[in-house]
Amino acid sequence: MKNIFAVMTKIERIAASLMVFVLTIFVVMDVGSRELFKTSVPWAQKSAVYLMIWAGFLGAILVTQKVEHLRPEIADKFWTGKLKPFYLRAQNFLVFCFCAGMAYYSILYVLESKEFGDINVIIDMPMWLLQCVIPYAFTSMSLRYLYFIFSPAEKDPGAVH
Amino acid sequence: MSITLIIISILVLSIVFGLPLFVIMGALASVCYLFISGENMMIVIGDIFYAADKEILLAIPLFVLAGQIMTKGSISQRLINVAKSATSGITGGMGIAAILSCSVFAAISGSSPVTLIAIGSLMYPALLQAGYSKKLAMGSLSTGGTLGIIIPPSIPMIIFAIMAGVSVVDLFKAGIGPGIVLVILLCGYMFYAAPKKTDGQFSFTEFLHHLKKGFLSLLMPLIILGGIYTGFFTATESAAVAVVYAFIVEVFIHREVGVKKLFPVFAETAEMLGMLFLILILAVSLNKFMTLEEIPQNLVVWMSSMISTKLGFLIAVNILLLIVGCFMDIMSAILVLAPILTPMAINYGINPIHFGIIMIVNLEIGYLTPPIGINLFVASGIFKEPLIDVIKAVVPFLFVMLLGLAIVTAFPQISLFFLG
Repeated sequence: MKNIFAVMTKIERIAASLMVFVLTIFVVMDVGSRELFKTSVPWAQKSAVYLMIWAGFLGAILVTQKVEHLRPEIADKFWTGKLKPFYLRAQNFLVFCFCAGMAYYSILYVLESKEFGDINVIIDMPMWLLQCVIPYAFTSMSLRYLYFIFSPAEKDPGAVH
Repeated sequence: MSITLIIISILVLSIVFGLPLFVIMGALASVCYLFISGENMMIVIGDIFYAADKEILLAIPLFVLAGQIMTKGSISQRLINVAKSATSGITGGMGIAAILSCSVFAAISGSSPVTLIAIGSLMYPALLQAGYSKKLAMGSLSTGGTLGIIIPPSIPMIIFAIMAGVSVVDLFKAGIGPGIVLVILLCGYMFYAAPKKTDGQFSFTEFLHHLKKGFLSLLMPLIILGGIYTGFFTATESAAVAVVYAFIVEVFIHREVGVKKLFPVFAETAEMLGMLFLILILAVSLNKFMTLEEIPQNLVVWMSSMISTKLGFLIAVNILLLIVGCFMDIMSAILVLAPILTPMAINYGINPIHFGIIMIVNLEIGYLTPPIGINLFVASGIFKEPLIDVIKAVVPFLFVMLLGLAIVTAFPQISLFFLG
């Protein structure tokens, strides 16, 4: 399982980095073209926004892997000693339930979007293709939280160094 | 079971089990849509996609990326050299240089902890060597580091603008005045508290030498703020310009960052984006629900019946935000409170941009207050001093910051001056 997460994390990390790189190129290209040649590249900014959405969701998976999501930590100090593993398991179980629920409903959402045939006219691309990062991200996150339930002490099972 | 009970249960469960903020936001939004509006869960998914589909959000990864590129080089040392050579010959010059370096670096990095790490790790030994007490050195650097979020460009300002529905550019412009006020107050305190001796003689040649070396780094905030102020750039455009500028300066001119060193920067930017992104879009969904159900408007009516004057509201809101700053990180606090408090502030005749600045200065102070003041932990780590000593060291500076907050709150002109 640890190896699977390591491979997934590596791929997601490369994909997220590439997306940030390409979105930067697109925005710079659009701004440069507007300021220097007084003409904008219509698809550049919209494409950059969708790349940002993908990078954001993939980034959220990477943050899950590192267990660095922002959260209230007030209760942490009360769960010490033998209670700590229970606390971590319960925490990971609740987050797993949420992510799994979101993954389920986002799959339904994307399927519905595909059925309706929605298209983004600026970049001429089916919306469901742009939206499919949502079910992927929540599924990937829920799998990680599921793993954390059984292995709460090991916070970063697939860390890529 | 009533809906109120469900919401309270979610909040209690979230705190007791330390659930991530995106889960809290998402669970609340889902429950509200399901049980109050009777909608399908898929509406939350639709909301989060359309909340993310905003061009202004592009400014977040781009500013983070520019800051990351600039901080890979030796910009902090260059800025410190300029500040030190400019203030040598003045009583407390070294301490003032520390604050000035923090403020300029903050304008480049846009992050308080990063500013503290970059400037603090270099300036702390230098301050001790110049005869400053540990307490004064730690206090000044920990506090100087917080300037990152009030001096634009600032990610918390972008988040506030999105949540409160105000202009990011206006908020950036409004941050300049309060930033200057806080820098002046902190420099003034350093002048008063520093050892009564000068740190060498001022040498114009030396100053020019360091200025030449650090000129391009100093120019970055001027280009960004100048472009925004003159209306030449939007927030997203200025972020794109910042990335290009940072890349050219660090890779081709300073030649301190190789292309290889840049690869991890993109992944770090994606992670930073990922940390904020989910919370932000789920908070927008919750916010949309609250607006549909007229919750902020009802709160405004309720608040008006409790507090009748603008002054009363400002005092109450400052106390509330100072307490919140002790227990919540700045992003979470803005995401949760900005959509609720801003309509109330407008109702009391407070300019929403001015209110945004008040909120950010309050939460900036939260970086220095236990139990979760992030700069306290960062300072304790980089200075290798016990946390309790760092907390004691920032106490006098907290009073300076509170004075700054009072001035910024009482004189909206300071924030609104650059808005024209």
